[in-house]
Amino acid sequence: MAFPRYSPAAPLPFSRLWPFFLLGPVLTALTGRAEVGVALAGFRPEWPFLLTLYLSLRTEGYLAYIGAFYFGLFQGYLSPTPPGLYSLKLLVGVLIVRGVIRKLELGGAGSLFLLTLGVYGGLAGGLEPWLLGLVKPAPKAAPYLTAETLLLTARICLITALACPLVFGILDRLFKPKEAP
Amino acid sequence: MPPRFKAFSPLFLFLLALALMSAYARNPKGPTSEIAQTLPLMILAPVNSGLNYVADEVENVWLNYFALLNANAENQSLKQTVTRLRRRVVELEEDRKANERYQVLLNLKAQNPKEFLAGRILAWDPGPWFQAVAVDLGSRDGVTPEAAVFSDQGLVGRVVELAPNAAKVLLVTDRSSGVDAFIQRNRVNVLVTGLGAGRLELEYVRKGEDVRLGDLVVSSGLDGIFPEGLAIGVISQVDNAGLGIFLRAELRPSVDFSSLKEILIRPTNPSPFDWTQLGPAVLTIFEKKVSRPRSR
Repeated sequence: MAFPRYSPAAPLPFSRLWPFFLLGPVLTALTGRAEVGVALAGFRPEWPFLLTLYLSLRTEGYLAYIGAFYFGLFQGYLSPTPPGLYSLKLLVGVLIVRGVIRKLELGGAGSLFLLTLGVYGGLAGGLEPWLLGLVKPAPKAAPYLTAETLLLTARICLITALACPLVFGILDRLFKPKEAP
Repeated sequence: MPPRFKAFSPLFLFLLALALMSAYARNPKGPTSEIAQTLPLMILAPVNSGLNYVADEVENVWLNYFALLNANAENQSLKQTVTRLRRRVVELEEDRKANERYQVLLNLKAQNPKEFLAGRILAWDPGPWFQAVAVDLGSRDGVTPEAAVFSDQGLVGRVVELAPNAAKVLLVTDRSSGVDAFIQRNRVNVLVTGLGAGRLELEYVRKGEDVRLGDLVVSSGLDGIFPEGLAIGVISQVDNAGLGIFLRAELRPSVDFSSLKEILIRPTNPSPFDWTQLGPAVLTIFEKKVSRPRSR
């Protein structure tokens, strides 16, 4: 299963992507509604990250950055996190991914898996708890990143990376324009 | 899209995200932070309500058509349970009447307000950092910040953010939650805090206090947020061996959070405990104890 590289000559236009911007919040809401034992145990992909990654790889930079900010605003709607935290995390993600894809050959499911694993792992396991600790220090002067939260983050990271090639396949079918015969 | 906007949009969005975070760091309850936090909740609450409706309909079809295979045996068992519970209701009714008599004697205002709002959980925070849920009651229903949230099983948490149509509730198991409480058996005053991952612990309980496995811990009402007498949890682990003057004890929450769907909210907080409402007899006893000279 080969995934086409981002082509600056043929990025997905906003006219095809606008339903994508409705899909993002709905998928985020769906995660919150998922069965407690499943979602809270980390057995779910992080949809805002996957959708942002898709935008980073398939469309122009400015749309990817707007998407990252927008999905980030909705991501924290269920938790008392500082507003802007997830937006900043996803914006950094776009920055990294758009920097990486100019240097690496990204063609197959394996490279998407590794890209997600690396970028998401760094953002969710490093940047996010660090920023959170800066803006909203954890109670009892304890760090946010404990063994429990690290395990949970690792599980979400692995499932997001595993789901990435599959989700990209579905999104490509839905949003990529049909090529002329 | 103008090319200049395309070039500057990343920088602008980075600055906007940083500005939102710094506004929160400066004043978490400020208008900018509140709007940025409640707007997504306000927009997504109806989406969650719709998803809940669909899920409930599917569940109803399942329960009404496919899950009735063992209904007869279950019916017999339930009849026995009803008989047992009826007997229990009579006992509890007797206890309630006795309690009312004691309250009249003490001239205490009844601490059991009649007005609660019943709501449903819309969604769970699936992130790793906080234990929170969204509920379908908001400021237009009369809910206020810091309102106490509980269920028929016990204490659930408190409202931390409010939108007109929904509210975010920080669960009692979150690491930043704290509840003033006492052990029901012997009225030892304790502080219950969350440990995350659905666990609770007791804090500031001196070694030597009578704390036993299986003791029920209930809210004291002295923190001005939670009503008195709500079950919080059962002591599941006590460690007296460590260093320090306090013992370590963990609680198993009374509320089964994994199956929690309906909640009750007390729309306004109770006023702080008014000592003047104590009857003169109790006050006299209290004064005597205070003024009694210490014997050497």
